[in-house]
Amino acid sequence: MNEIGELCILLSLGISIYSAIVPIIGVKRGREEYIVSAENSIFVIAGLIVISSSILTYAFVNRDFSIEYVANYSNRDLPLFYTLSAFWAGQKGSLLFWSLLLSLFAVVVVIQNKNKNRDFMPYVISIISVTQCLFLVLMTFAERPFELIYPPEDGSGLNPMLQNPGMVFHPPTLYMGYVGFTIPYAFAMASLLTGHLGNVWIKTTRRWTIFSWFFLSMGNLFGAWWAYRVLGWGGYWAWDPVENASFMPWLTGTAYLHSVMIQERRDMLKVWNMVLIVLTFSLTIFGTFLTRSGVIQSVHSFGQGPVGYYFLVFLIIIILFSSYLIINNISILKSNNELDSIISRESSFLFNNLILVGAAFATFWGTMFPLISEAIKGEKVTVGPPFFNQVNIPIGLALLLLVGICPLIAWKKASISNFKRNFLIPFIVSIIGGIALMPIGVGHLMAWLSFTISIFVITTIVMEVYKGTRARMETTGEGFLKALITLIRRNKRRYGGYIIHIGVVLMYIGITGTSYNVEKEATLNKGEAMTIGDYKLIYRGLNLKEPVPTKAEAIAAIDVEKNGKNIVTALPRKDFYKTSEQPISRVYNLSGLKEDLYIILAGFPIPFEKDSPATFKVHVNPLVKWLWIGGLVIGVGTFIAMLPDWKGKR
Amino acid sequence: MIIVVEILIFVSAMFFVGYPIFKRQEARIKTQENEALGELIHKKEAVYISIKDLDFDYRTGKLSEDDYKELKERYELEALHILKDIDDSEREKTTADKTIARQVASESAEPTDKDFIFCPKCGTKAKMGDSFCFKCGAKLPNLNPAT
Repeated sequence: MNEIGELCILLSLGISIYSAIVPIIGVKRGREEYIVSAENSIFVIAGLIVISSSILTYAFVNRDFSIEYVANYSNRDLPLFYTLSAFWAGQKGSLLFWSLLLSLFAVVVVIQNKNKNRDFMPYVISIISVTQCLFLVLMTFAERPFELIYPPEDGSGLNPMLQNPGMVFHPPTLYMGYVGFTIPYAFAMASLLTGHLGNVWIKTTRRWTIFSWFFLSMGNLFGAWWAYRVLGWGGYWAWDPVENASFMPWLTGTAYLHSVMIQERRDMLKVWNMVLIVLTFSLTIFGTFLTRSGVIQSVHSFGQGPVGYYFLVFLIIIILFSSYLIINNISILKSNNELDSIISRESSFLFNNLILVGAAFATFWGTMFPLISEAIKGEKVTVGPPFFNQVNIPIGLALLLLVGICPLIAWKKASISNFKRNFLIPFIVSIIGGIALMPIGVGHLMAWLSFTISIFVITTIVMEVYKGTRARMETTGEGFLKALITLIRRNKRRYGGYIIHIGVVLMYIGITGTSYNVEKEATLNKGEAMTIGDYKLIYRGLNLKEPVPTKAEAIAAIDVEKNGKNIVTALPRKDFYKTSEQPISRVYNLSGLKEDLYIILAGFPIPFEKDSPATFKVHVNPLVKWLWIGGLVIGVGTFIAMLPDWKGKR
Repeated sequence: MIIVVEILIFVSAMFFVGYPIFKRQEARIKTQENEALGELIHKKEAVYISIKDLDFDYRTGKLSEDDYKELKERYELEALHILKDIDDSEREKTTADKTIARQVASESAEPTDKDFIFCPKCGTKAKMGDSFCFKCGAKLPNLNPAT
């Protein structure tokens, strides 16, 4: 079977090269059949990569350890759920998975544009195919997913840290975001190549942009959730280079998502939008380069190897190619329109863009600092979380404030008196909230600011929705609920966006809770207790279980009391895998809306002895749950913003 | 068996990719024949969105009455210009279509005596609109059938 998988990859590579070149020849010679042939190629490539992926999945499920990748990332005891996710656990499989997503997205693009954007499509197909070539070249020459070995009795198994639901969803969602941005990028380049620099490409890729942004957001969030549950250090974000690598395109992608709205309305910022989409796409490739080259130490690295340098070369090509096209069209891209007023929704969007790009730059600088310092001083100086927090927290707060101010300002030209009037209620509410929160603000200025601004933002959004509904009620005579639903239905993007903003505020609340984290470590004998916050933890003993021959679980039992009342028996544990030298801590997390009680079994004497003394690390992390709830709310908002226009289909 | 499957995959892939070229598929009719017209339509939509925003911002108390009136007037004027441009563009397109249709009709119609002239020097029959006689090279009179 592996031969078929290899043939499919090789054949896809050949056809991708073909579909990268042929549509351009078709345009030059005015031969539509060449373009149709390239479109067919997109279907064929997708078919071939689906076959390859199915064969690899089949090999995993059937424990075909003659395939090196299967032997390295699975074993006979691995549950089916994780066996399937092992597909993208390593370098080779993740390349195939990326290629699979790109091929399927390309098929959707071809179908969507069967009868429109015919001038763009040859270039779009060509650019997607060139990107596809990169992955197929890697899988053909450097990282062959179907490479054979002499089959061992059993596989090495999946890294126990990856045996977590968070890790099942984190890579696919993140890749969907990464790959998704190829589509707006391809259309942007197609518009530059055809010289049709209007808003058609932006309108065509609007949903692709929201889709990619959403999945990039969710990818980051699933990664944070996984880190929180699995890495066992009590947090979810450590400003690790690879975390930053997926955060940077998210920042520029968010900026792009907002600034295209100005181009759509005012025919302005064409150069800026081009730069943002090129930056976002380049940063997705840059992130992949960081992960796969090993140039910067990270917990996520796929290891050192030549693969990263393929991405680096591709990145350089993209930047040169895109910059050339933008510079070449700069005179046409420049807009004659100007802002009507500095106090307008447009200018607040511009500030938002500057802040987001500033944050991306600061993150880039901190991430690359070890390399920069090595180049200048000859030693690698790593920049830790304090740098990123110090720089990004004020930037983040300024951004949050803008999220609140933005809805208060009219498009084009806001009058100061109206702005003041609209500003008044949210301002008073947030001041009252801020005063009420004063006691928790002592010593935590930034956290207090964050909560106060969050109150301001929520108030402005609620007021905005209320005012819109009331205006509709006055005009149409509809009841409140009907007016509200119709308002949202008729302006899905606006109100979907507001819901996303509420999600973002909830995430800010969750993140701000970090300022109040409490942490304690204690070694306890059986029957001894420790206290942290409102909790009393009584250690009841340690036990060893062997649920499967390849895994042993050391489980501690702790009675948790809150305000003198027994609420639960917590069972933090440490898992020992035969396939891994490092034991894995399985955190016990009692999660609530107010706080999480996060218990880690940190250590106990080896060799194991039942009910021996044990060391526990306990964290009380306030408000973490709001981070995940914020993610869900963002999902709802995105869904509404992406809904098709019913009105047009009537 | 695997070889057979491989050959099957290879042949089907090649067939599907190459089919449009061998078939020499007719050029698909472009839905957006007139790029300029397409852009104008997008501009029109953008102005409509702007007017909608203005109305909404005014009704929700973000815009003063004076600013609202001034901006609305400006955008309505802009919309009017765009609509006029769209009309012109569509009219041009219709005229061009009619001209093409007329030309196609005249190409395919049976020639009549009115479509020919005779060389004043040698008397050879020549097509109306020809400048010189293809037999003797003498200059032909300029008789435009359209006039």
